[in-house]
Amino acid sequence: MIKITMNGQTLEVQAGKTLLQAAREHGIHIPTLCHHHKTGSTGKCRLCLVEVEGMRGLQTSCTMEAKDGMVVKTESDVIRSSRRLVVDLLLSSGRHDCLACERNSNCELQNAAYELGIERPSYTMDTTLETDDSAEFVFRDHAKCIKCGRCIVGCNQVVVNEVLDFGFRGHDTKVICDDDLPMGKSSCVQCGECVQLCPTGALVDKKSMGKGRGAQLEQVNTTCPYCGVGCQMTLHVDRKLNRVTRVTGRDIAPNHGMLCVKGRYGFEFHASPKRLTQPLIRKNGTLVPVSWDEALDYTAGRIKAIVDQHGPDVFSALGSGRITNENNYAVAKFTRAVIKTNNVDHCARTCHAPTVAGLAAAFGSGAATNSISDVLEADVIFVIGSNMTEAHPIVSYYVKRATKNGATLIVVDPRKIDLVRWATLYAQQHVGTDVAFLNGIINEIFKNGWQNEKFMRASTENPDDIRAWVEPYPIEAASKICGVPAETMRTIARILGTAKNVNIIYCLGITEHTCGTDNVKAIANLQMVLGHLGKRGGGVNPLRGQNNVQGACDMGDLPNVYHNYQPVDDTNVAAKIAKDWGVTDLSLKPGYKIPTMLHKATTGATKIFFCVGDNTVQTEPNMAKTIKELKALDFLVVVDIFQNLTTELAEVVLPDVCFNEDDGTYSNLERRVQRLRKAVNPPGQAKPTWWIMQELGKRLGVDLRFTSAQGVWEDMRRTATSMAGITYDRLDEIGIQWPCPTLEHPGTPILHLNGKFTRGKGLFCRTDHRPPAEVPDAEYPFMLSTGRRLWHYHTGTQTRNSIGLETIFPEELMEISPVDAKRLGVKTHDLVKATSRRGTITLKAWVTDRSPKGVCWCSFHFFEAHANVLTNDAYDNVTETPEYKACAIKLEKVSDGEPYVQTVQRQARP
Amino acid sequence: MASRMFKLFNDKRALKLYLNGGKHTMSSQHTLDTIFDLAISREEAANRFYVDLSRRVKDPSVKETFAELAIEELGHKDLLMSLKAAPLTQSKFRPAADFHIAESEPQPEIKPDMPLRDAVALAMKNEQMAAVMYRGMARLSTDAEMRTLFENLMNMELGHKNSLETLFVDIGYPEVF
Repeated sequence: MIKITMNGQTLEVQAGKTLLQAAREHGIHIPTLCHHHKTGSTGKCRLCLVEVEGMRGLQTSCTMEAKDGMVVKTESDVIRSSRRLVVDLLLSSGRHDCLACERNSNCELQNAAYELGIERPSYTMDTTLETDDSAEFVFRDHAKCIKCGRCIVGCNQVVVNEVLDFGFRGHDTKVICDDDLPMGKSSCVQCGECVQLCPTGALVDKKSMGKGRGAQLEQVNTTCPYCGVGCQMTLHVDRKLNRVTRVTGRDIAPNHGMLCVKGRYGFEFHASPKRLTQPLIRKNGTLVPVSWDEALDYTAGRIKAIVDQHGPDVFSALGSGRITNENNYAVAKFTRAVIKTNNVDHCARTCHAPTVAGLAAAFGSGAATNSISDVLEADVIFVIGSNMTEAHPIVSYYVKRATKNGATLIVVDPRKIDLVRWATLYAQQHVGTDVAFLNGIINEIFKNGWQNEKFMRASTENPDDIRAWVEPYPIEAASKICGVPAETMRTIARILGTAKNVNIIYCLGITEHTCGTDNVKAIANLQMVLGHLGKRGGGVNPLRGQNNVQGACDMGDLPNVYHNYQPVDDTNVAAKIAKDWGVTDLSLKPGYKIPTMLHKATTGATKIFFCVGDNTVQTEPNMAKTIKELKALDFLVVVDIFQNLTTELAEVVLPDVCFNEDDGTYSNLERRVQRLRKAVNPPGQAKPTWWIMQELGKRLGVDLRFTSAQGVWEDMRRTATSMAGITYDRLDEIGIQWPCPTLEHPGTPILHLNGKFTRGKGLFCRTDHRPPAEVPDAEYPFMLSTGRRLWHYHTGTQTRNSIGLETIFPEELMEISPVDAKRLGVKTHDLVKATSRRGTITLKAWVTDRSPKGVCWCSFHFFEAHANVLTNDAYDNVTETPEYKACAIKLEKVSDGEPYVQTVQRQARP
Repeated sequence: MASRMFKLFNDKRALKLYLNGGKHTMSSQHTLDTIFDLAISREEAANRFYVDLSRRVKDPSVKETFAELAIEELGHKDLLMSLKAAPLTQSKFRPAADFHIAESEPQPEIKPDMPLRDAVALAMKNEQMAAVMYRGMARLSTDAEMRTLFENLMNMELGHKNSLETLFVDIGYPEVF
């Protein structure tokens, strides 16, 4: 620590801090414009001028390092006069019409002018600078830009999308997109970080313009409803109109203010006129509105009649990775306490169940080991099977930022995804060859003695086995299977084997295969050979897909465990929970997984399907089969926020609330439980799922004792283990990562500390290459892989009912490699027909080198051209997770499309 | 022997009897050496307890964990012996965070096939009981010097408890389905 004197006051300051930092840490105000703690100091605006004794002239406090004994003044006539000149010139050089400006009352330039008593600018300058209205979500007004550069640093150093820069010189200097393209034509992904960092009205959220400012809107802190990152955000709410008008990121973990295009701009769905607003019962083939009493009486009556006749196991329920913890717990408790079956599951089955099976086998627990921001401490980041710039954009911001700080990024993926642009090394593997690739890498690590022998001996149970198991995979043999050149594999093995700290990240490219569990085990094997577990910056980190898919698991929407993974077949657990719930005869028999539930519909063993927030028709593979199975049911109940393909088959449809219409919690991909808060009233008669389950339970003779979301949480917490210490009060400001077993415990950011695994010692598991269940052949020569796009989410119910996202990406496109496109005579935007053994879809083509030769790709967001018409209902043999990532199709050109000219290489769209 | 001793430590009345036969207050009857001897014998007993358990259990991880715990208890014993030889003022232990996880867990059953979770739970509960014992002794002490010593020993045990509770968090709450 050093000592400085500031305005006569002695301050103790950490060496290396700037004068501005020292002042702020001690509550001394120095005005700034270009400085922001996320973008750093640039010394551009010169508003933070101070006097330093012994130095000539005024100094910029944001760049001047504090030195022991310095004597500093932050206020004086000279300083004030200089600051006035700075602000006066900034005001004069632009067109700052505060009255109608979107930033009025929230503008840092306005605040500086107010503080310095400047009412009108003194100088007249040319202010014929243009505006840019071309982008969907961001409006740019160059006349209000003060060239502070915060947006540029934010774009290049914080979210690392690398679009903005300064262009031109002198008076003509301005912020440009790419090579001075209109923002809407540029490579900008509209994440809005620049808007959030802009100190003036130069960059504003277009869709909130004119809809309220500052105190006119109420701020409600909550959690983003898209993806598993769990970004913390503030909703700016117009109470009179009952609408969210704007979203800003909160500067706390896990996102530290950053959001993606969906989180920041995909919020209007809550106010869509297409929302379900009242219960519907199918009468004479048509869904007709009814009262809640009628809907609940009818539903309870139908359930009772069928269960009484056929037993509890004909009932199956689905919770959802999109609904809150409280609502998921309510579904699970209803299924177990009221119906007395364990047939409850949710969409983790379709995505990350192999993660849990694989990591639990290796480490004893299936949870992600580290926090998201840990990647900033890794020296090598190994990403396999994760298109994170689209599916988990905030994670990609951290990863890209780490590369800027010098980390080595290795990307392994069959598709040349956008993240490759930032990769040190890219390995383009064949679809479904992860085990061969990983075993080859491990083999090479052993061959060169790069394995962490100390870690393996101290922390694993069978260190000698793995060496033998990967022997059949020398680099050359593995290379032949996976298609990655042997030399590239050798380089990857060397980088990994000699790194100080490797962070492994993967996603559904690993899990959604018939060998998904083996893929995960192979990843665990690799990291246990490297030994970078139980420390910051390392670990094995699966990216959970949906906003609360972790929480749905945590709440026991699974056929074999209660909340917090307490086994249903453990009599002590069942007795404890039965006593707390005030019920008897809880089933000790594990229930069905989703594919089994659905399959049993065709045999009559499943008769009731209670589906909450899943849209099963669109999310399961082989849509024709799913429809057939759902049609075979006696009784299909759907609880959702919109009509969709699944409600079309339902006998009863119940309107649910969405993320900002009730209190609750989500658990993110780093096990962090975070709050949601009610910001608006739900539309019509929509009700929370917990209320629906309570009312149905009551009608079926069991009081579930749910009176509020918080009450549901407390009900869960009474018999919880890993979450017993988490309360709404403790979550008020920031989330807590489980395990957090007591009120005194702070939560657990890193698992397996110091190489101690949940199962004691880590277990290497044998894995061998198995090809996908369906591979291309003469009749179906292309491999289709599927996934998620940046602009959309799940089956489109949220994103397609939010303004602007569909304008940017209005319809599904089939990605085809340039080589295949040329052979088929297909150009971008031509119409093509894709056919698998299960169905056909027709959609436009996108010719792109994202796809390698022989591989096509499309998403499951658009019901009009849906990937799951084509996908294969083949499953991972351990978890019954479908192989969404690989099936064989054929392609035919249908017709020419509108001519397409590419002007710039953009992320996530043509 | 060891488990009987742990039970004893958790009972305040028994504690008094153990220390002074129930006849006198501690301040008047017990020297600092006696207190250290008690603490040292307790660590020795714990060592024997874990050595015994490591022989009885089947799972290699559990066996190893008990063996490690046994060694740790010897380390605690050595530490106490060095403190006994040193002036009282040097024996300061910083209070560690008490997560109260031991208190929230039931007493695990000791059996050959006990899982790792139970092994760690048993150890952290033992540390909890030791801390409770020293806290009780501190409260019973009328002599300030002795109270300080007992509080130090309590802090030492809370430090051990903290380590074991941290380990238990890694082991006790797996995500498995």
